[in-house]
Amino acid sequence: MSIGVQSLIAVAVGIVALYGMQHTTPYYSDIVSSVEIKAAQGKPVSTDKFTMGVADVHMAKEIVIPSFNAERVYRTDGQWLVIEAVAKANNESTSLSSAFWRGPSGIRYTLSARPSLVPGLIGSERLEPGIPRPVLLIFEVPEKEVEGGTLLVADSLVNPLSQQAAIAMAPVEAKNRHQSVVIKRAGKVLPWTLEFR
Amino acid sequence: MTAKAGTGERRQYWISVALLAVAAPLALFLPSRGEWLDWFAAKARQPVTVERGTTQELAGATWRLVDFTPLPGDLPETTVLLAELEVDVTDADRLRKAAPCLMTLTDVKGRRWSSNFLLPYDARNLRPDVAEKKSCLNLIEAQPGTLQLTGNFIIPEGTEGLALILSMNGEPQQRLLLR
Repeated sequence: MSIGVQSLIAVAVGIVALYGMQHTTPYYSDIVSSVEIKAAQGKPVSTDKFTMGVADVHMAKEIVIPSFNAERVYRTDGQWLVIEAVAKANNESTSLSSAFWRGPSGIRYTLSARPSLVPGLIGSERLEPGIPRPVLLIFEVPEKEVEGGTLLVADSLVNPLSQQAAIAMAPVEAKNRHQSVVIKRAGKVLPWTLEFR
Repeated sequence: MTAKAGTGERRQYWISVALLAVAAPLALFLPSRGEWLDWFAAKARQPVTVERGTTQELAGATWRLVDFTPLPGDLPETTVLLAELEVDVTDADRLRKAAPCLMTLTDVKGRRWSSNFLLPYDARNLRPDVAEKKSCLNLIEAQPGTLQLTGNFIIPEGTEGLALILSMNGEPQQRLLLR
């Protein structure tokens, strides 16, 4: 093989290697991103900052929030997911400021900001060590992103290499599929009650 | 000749390894401009323990833990712990610059509770006098003299071995452990 051919092969190999590195080298933000602690719905998951368990998931086409003299109705072309969970801090007071629903396609949906004044929403109250608190999470997602979804919760996405609970969610049971979910204010222990229509 | 060259290469190899062992940590530490050393020093520094009834100087004031008062919590099986301190301000300018103070409650298991901004509703009704006392934030306008300071924490009932960790935002190098 002539030297010219060898040089061409070397250059080609170099180009392929560089192309591969360009497309596979993670960004710095990926390297220091949250570490997922995997769990399944029904079992508590414990990160270094908090412990959490999902109790129930409800799916509906509309959410109703009673207010003083009227009801606020929030409709969607997709599905509302109303998730009831319990969380507590492990060793020091903390707040859960990050929650996503990751659909089977990999797309992440952040907490819905549409229904406001919902009692017990995650992040609204600080968690304390040794004191479990009920927390509510509400997502608005396309119907095809519901089944096979994963709930991602973290105290912060800003801290490098912080741990994030990744809870693989079970299919929503038939008894938990509704037309409407009414979220009412309740007491101090459980801040909300759900009614279904 | 070959044996001599081999010895020289081995020597060069081990010198390079030794230099690498020195250079690699330096490459990590030097760009931080001492921040790593400060971090290690802060971690290694233990808080000054202040037993009940005794006082300790910190950031232009003398601090004394007056009492830990348990009050009923809003939630079942919880307690609101009210920490009351007496602060004798000797250098108001220094205290104002170092303010606000930071309070953390710790227990025998090493768990840490951050203080609440407001006293919970039920506890507030039992101790209306707390509204007249100062909080850590009020120290930004401290004047010479003695003031009563409070902090409150929501903890599980039956928590044992409680102690208060107190530090100043502007002088984090010293902490007090009041118990």
